[in-house]
Amino acid sequence: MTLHSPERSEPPAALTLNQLSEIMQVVIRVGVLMLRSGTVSFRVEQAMQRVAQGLGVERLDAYVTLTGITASIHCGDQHFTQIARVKSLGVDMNRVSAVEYLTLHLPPDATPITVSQLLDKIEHMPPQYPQGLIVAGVASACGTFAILSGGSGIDCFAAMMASGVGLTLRYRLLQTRLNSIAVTVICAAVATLVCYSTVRGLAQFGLLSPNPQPAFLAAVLFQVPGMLLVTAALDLVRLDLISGIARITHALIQLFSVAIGILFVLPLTGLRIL
Amino acid sequence: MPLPVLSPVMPLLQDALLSFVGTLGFALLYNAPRKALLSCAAIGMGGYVLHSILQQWGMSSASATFYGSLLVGLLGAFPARRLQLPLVLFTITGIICMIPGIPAYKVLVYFNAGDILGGLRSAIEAGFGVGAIVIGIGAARIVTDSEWGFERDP
Repeated sequence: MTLHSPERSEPPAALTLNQLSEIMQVVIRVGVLMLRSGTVSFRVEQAMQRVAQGLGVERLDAYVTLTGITASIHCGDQHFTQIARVKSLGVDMNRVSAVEYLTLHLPPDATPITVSQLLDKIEHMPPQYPQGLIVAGVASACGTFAILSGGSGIDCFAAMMASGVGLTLRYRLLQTRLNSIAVTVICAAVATLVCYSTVRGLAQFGLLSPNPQPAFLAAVLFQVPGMLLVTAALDLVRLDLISGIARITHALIQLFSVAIGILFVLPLTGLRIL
Repeated sequence: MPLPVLSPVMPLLQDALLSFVGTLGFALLYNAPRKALLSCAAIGMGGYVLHSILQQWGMSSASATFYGSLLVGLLGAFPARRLQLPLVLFTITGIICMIPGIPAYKVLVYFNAGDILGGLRSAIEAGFGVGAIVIGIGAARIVTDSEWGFERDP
């Protein structure tokens, strides 16, 4: 996608290569921040375009994939190209919103330094919700899914316990920077195990669940790559094929990891859950 | 335990409450901005309730999911514009309750038990569900966001 800067009363002063390079650092940073927070490629490109234009660049060509950004900026007869590798993808809607708001409301006298300072501020925003609240919220969500999928109150309770433990463990493991596939497999296995123990434990007290299948499903739902599936869809509808296919692949890998985690535990329990 | 079924409205109320809580939980997980939390949950509830109503009327699961996610995508545009937040925030949390989890889970269990036919049937069911969500939000996006829906080179 190519956007040219709007008509100006006077032609913009030609930028030197040094200035182009400084602008590029900020533009790439905006792109990397948005991509790492999990938004669609089109939005990443759009945000980069806005910042580049706000800083006086004539043209920006950005090629955004899931794992990296390649971008060139042009001004007069100068141009500058940079590649940025993007790792540790996550989902952070608050950060996406903040960066997008910044790109839409760029101060008219913005320089690479001021924008960079604003980005620093966004990057260091404290987490909005305490981790305990997130775990409680996700655990209740998984509990409600157990009921929505046709489960009973017992299934709801088992799913809440399992997803609460699983998500807490997931946060711990992610902090150690363990490979994310391994984290997903381990957490799925642990959640299934906790769910099984809870269902069996409650059965000891006569609280028998007629059909515990929804509990086991809901117990691992906190790892469903919902965000990846949706952004993949939006990328593909825009024909951002490389990025879309990469996201689908990532989502499938995550789903398989969850499946493998469940399969580790299933034979041990000897449970028929159909 | 399923709440007592008094009339067709009761299960709908139950669905509404449950999908509200479910969407809210995932909005927290995705670190949605505070001012958007309740709108996210309300939109997720709206989409899921429409999906339930249509299924009660006998519509197939995939079509009901399509209309549900279309509604999610369309409704999301209002708070997105008013609060100046990205639309994708409301879409992603809104469709969470409609993700076909049970069929996807059955694929695994059937295949593991050696039931190839059952596994394939569940896989197709899950694929239709995901496809319906994708088409629904894609269509809503093209309608609500002209910058997104039209390729423009100004």
